[in-house]
Amino acid sequence: MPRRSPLALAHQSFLRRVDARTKLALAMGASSAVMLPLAPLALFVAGFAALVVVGRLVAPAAAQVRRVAPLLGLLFAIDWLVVGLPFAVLITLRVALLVTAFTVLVATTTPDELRAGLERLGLPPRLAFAMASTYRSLAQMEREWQTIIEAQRARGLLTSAARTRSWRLRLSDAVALVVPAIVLATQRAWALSESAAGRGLESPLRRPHGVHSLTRLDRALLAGAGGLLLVLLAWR
Amino acid sequence: MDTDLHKPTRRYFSTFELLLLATIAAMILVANVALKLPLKMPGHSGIVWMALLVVARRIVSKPGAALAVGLLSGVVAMFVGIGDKGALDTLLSYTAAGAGVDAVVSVTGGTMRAWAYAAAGLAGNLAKLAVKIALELWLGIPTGFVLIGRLYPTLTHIVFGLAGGYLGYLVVEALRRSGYFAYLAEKR
Repeated sequence: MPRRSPLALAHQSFLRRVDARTKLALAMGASSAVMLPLAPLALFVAGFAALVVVGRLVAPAAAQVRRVAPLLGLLFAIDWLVVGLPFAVLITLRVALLVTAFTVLVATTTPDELRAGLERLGLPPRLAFAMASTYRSLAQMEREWQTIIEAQRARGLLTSAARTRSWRLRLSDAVALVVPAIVLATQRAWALSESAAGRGLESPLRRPHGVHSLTRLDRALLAGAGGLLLVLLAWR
Repeated sequence: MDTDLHKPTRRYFSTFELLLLATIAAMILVANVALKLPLKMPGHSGIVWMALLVVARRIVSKPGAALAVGLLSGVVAMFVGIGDKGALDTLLSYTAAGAGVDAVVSVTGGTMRAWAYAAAGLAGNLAKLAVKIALELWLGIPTGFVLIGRLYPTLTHIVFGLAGGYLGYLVVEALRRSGYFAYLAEKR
């Protein structure tokens, strides 16, 4: 599972100190900027790139771009040949911005910080808890899948010989894999809901954890990004 | 204060149901990575993915259950770096797949036939593809390029979506035979 460990967070980035709500707004603003025409878009991309460099997020952003590099290259070539160079540049910038827009959020925020931020935006605590549970269940779920796979192999299922069998038999192998996983998931969900109830998750008196107001840095970032977007939209 | 404490709170999903959906969302993420089939065909991840969405919608038999699984798995997938076209594409694809499954199961209602499950899987896998197409059109990529480029993926998404829905049917039937739903009723 290519899961990011907490160490892979960009700890050195100043964006670690920024509220998750601000980073979510920045990411959504950057995603919506892809609608701009070429000249304002190029300016916005330059501003976003500056934020990525200053925020020391070049490595995670470059990793995102590398994943779509073949697609970008192909699109650029076809667009240049069929439509023209300015259009090819426009599409390339748009795709690159869209795939990197959320880097400012996901590379500098833990799922728990996002959960707290979403709770402050009004997400019900039970939903926020469910989101955190999904993330925390990943490691255990992976172990459980592995245990089930090994158990089924010991029973002669899912072996390499089995792979050469018909589609119908392969589907029944998949059923033998998914059914125990669902039963284990149910047991786990029951244990979690019992412990959550014991800790007062369903109490009508429960309040969200600390209500933090935005800092000066948050406000400056929001004002800067919002102002830039507004100016570029007006220019459009 | 007393009345507040004792006022019964009616919630759409119980905490147990929400956590069960959250656990299935985690299962989808692990399956999408750990159970990758050695097929170089677009949309093949839809087999296990759609099966789990369909199963989730049948286990928690309320409209919105598959959508909740899609949304939860989408948010977490963004953070674990699943998906190769950025976080927005990942979030929207996962959510749309859940919404597609939900919509068809809600329309087919209590039908427990294999075709209804297969149709739900098909809708989920096509909704996932539709998000990619919509994003490409939103970016301004010419419609002709998108349509030609997405012709083959559409065919494979149809096949794997149907297969995933059918696998979901087989899983639900196996769960029913094993007495899982009686066990689940006790938990509720």
